[in-house]
Amino acid sequence: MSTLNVFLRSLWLKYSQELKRPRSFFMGIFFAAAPLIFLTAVLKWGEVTDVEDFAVGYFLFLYGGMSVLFFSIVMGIGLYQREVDGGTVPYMLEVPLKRYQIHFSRYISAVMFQMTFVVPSLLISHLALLKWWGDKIGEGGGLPLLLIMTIGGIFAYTAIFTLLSLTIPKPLLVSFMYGLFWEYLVGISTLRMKSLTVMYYLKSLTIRSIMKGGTYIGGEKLAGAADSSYALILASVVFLLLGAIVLSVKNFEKI
Amino acid sequence: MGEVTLEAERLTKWYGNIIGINDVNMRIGGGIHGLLGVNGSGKSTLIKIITGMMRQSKGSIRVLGEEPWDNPRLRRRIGYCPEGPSMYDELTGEEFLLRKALYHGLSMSEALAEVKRIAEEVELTDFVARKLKGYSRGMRQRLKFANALLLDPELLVLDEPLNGTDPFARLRMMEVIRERARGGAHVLFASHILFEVEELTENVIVLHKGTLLAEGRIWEIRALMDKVPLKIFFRTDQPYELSEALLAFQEVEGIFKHPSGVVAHVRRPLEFYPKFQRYILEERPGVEEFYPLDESLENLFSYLLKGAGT
Repeated sequence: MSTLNVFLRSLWLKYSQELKRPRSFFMGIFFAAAPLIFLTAVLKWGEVTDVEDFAVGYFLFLYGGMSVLFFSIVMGIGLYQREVDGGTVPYMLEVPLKRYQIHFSRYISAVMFQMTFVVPSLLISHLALLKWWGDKIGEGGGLPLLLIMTIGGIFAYTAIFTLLSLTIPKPLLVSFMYGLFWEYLVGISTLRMKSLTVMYYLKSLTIRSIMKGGTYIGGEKLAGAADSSYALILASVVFLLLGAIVLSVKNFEKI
Repeated sequence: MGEVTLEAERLTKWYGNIIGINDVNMRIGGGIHGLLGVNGSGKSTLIKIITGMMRQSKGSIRVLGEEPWDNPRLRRRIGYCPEGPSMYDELTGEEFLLRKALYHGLSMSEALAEVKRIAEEVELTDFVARKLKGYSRGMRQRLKFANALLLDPELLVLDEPLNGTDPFARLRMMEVIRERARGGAHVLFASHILFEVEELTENVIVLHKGTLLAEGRIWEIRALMDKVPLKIFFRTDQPYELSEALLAFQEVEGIFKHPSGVVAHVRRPLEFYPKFQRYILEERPGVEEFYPLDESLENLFSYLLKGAGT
């Protein structure tokens, strides 16, 4: 059997195994359902004075900030940490692929798993908002940019957090701290170094997707849609390759 | 020596400042080989290097003529049964076995047939539909063993495969190992129980504190073992009945209570083991497992170390 076939099988088996894991499945349901529940509550009982501002905040914080960032932390860290803690590394490495190929297949399966839950949820949210305020939002790039934000964010964050799970002790704690302090606080701030966070590009894409001409309160400078997409691709590729290199040389000493 | 299964030269592995295995040279041929040593002797480290899970700090190793590190081609030729009981609890036994069969290129129908064949061979057919979460330690051992047997690998690397298995499963697994060896497979069988190794082979490699203490000298170890009394633990929920039965064996010098069974002081353990095994098969006294406690093996290997003048 060709390497590509083994690769695809390994990817699919990891993906379906993740779906069978109750904790991962419920996590997926949570990150998909939470924004929808919030949106339903707002649309039913809340009062929204600035529709565009609400939509930007909604997609940025509940999808970019929560479903993408935190789901990626849990899945990215779990990709290796769970195997190490659970003592299943020998089974992870019994796949007849080079280690870097094992890394790629596991990474893609984790990304696919997150997309399975988050993308449909995002589509439902977008459709709901279009139905309610169709004439007031989506004047910019609309849905494609929101999809790039979500999928690109998942790719980039998962690559970052899988690398962290392979390289540092207590990766879950460190990743949460990194997510909160660097991505959240710096990424949405007006500091110049915000362009070193993934969140800045997610924010730019969200704003450009929702607001007319991509303008935002306070006239903040945003990254262009193309620049944001390139930044997400660059971050994904760089961290994915670093992860593959680390796995290729890593001795799992606690197995 | 004809075919060389494993060849190591000055093999050394450090964990920071702690040495895992130290300057090991070995060259073993086909058939069954026992890798003997107490917990922490370096057996598992050596096995992880052999199976490509870990890279040595120094020295070289070739398994079936190939370097094991990051070698997918060799991974297809080795069946590895790791030591710990951990597995993917969200899967059923069948799904767990199917993973490997599918990775290695079988179609779904071929993989299902292969899993069925192996499950029958290790007598797991009744359990494979169950989630692994509900598996006992012994069932997990058998499933891991079955996973190693899948696709008839050329080399079986078994790290303490009989730990936690009941005496009946143990006998069946030993029989399967012998059958596989008769069929041409090479087997490296790691254990800290000489009795288990002795039942399978006379080719023994003894590791102690990371160094190669002895190779192929099972008779010397046997002789020593008959001089050194062993403490053997028996897991049972009928300690009083079992104590009474044990005291009827002339090799048993004393019995002590243990929270989950009894501990017996046994002289001439190699005479005692087969007798007790026969007794289990005939009387079924409710013994879940039995094994020598490490402290007595530690003594045994210390004697051997002195005897070797190292």
